[in-house]
Amino acid sequence: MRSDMTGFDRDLEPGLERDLEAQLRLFFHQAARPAVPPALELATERLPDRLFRDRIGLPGSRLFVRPMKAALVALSVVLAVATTVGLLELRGGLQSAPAGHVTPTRILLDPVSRNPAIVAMGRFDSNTGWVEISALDADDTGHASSYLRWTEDGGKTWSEPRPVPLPLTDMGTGRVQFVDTRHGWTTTYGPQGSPTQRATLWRTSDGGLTWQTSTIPSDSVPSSGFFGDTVQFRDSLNGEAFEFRAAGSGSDAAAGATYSDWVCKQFSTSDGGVTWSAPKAIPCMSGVTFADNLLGYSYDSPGLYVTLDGGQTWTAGTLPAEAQGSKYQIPMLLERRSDGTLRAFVYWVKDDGTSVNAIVESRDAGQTWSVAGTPSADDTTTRDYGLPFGMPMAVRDEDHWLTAPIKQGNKPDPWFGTSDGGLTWTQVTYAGLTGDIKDFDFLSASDGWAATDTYDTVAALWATTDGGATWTRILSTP
Amino acid sequence: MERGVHALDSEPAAEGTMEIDEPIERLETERDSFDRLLRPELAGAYRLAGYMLCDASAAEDAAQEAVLRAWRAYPRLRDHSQFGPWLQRIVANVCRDQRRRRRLVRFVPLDGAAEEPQPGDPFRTALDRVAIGRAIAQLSGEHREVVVLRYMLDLTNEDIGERLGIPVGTVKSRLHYAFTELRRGLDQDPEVAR
Repeated sequence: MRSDMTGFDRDLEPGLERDLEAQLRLFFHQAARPAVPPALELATERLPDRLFRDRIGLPGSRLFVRPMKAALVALSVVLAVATTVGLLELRGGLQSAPAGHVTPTRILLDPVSRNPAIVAMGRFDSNTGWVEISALDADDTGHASSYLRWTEDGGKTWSEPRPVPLPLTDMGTGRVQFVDTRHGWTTTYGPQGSPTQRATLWRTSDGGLTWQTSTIPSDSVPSSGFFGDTVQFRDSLNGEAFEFRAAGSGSDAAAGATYSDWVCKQFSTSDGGVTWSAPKAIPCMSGVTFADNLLGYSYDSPGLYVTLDGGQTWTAGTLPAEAQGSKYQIPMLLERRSDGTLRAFVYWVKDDGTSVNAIVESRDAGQTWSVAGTPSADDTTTRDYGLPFGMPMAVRDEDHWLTAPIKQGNKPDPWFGTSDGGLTWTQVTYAGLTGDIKDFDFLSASDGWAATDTYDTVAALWATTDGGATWTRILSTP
Repeated sequence: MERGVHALDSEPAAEGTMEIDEPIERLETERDSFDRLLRPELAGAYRLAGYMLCDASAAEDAAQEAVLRAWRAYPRLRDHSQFGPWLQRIVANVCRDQRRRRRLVRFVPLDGAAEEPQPGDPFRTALDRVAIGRAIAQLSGEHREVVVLRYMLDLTNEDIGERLGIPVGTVKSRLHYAFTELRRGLDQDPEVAR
């Protein structure tokens, strides 16, 4: 099952936020642009010169070395290089690959990487699953590396890290998806104007040991607009790529285009991403979120878009009358129930600023929606962000959902659970888990994983077998 | 395949060691080219740090630290046309480190006075002047950095993710929360309320 990462995929609603965006642009572009203080000019003029001395070992520099010491330094160079190579080999960074395949050699070293986070995860049964861990490299230049780890025994043991291809000069979406234990994909984008500017699709058929590339034939950098795009595979062969971009946004803005000009396209593949169809125009939805390989949703005020076939077709639905005229609506969760109805947790804000949390249902595959209930927001959790129950949310099964707020600091914010598909919520007690919850992934009502990080310093994966009451840490980094 | 090989080639050496035997002439050329690339970017780096940290003094330190880090890592930058974005990434990183240090080491004034920015701080003055600025200043560090990158530098979500080393989904999530915080800040601003 592919991780939904629900908490990460929230977009801003264009209509509502435009005035706030305008204020921000005005502030930064027309407000003060303080000049560089003379002291900083001077310091940075001299800095390269001073550091130049460092690098050649001149007297007065911090790294000045005398001849005797130089020999020791030279020895340490040999040891450092040997250690680095050894570590890389130890961590699986130098692997041979079959002809025609790419084996990424870039891999971070846990003890010195920074800001680790589990950015994607997935499970196929109670034993088999994977996580993708991303972290900043230790070289202080802010480049991120990602790697995969697999388990086949429910998290007792893990594979050696398998680097995810994020070329140094390219940008990556940072997230991998797998449809089975072998077939997975991720995308990267090159710098503006570079030969790799178009999206590169990286695909693996051996669980991330080796990767091959192909190009999605978009006109420009996909997803370079305000809203995201995604590549979604429903099996090892068939998938869709979505491109939503504001033609007037970013450094590649089309001449004369504005933020109201949109480019919204969809590409399809039936060979695992090797080749892609010509683009077809699609509604300009606000990003796409998939709950599983087939069920996805998006929104564009005042409607809710739903796909039941992995994004091949979309149904534009109309939200209930209660939501009409509201400033904006955000679907937070969508599930398909055993009786065929669709149920969503939607949050909308009225013109007077009051918000409504609603459980809405559709019995016609997403064409029309009605309100099934309006669970009340809890003061404790609305305090943080004004959102109803915090994030992220997990669907344990169709009736049992779980949510934990994103923590601010170390205070023990409450979790909430529902056993009637979101209509009523009660506070949930849990034990054993520390850190900020970033995502859940439940196989069943009882069997779940949670990804956390703590002050950007430790990323951890936790497992529960009792529906979230108790948790055991099964992986952490560093 | 070549990409991976290049990436491995660029693994950093132990600080202050590998460079000892480098020819001085090469380093001189490198220094000149570094300086040429840095000059037009310095003001932007300073302003980026200033609005990320809301403090001119801290921004000055951050910009200087970023330049230092950039110089050390400069031999590894193969595409010099990417110097600007690369420096921005380092600045964002340094600012994040500064915020973390502030969190770890918090100085409490003996006289009980609240920590105040220096008088005449151009960033605080600009921020304090209008409601949206005051709301920006109230954002948490990680929310403010995405707002600054997005609206000061006009970066896309992907560019922001690249600068900060975070997935694009996280960028969107942080922007979402930042907007919620901004709206709340504006709603509570006494001038707006009037």
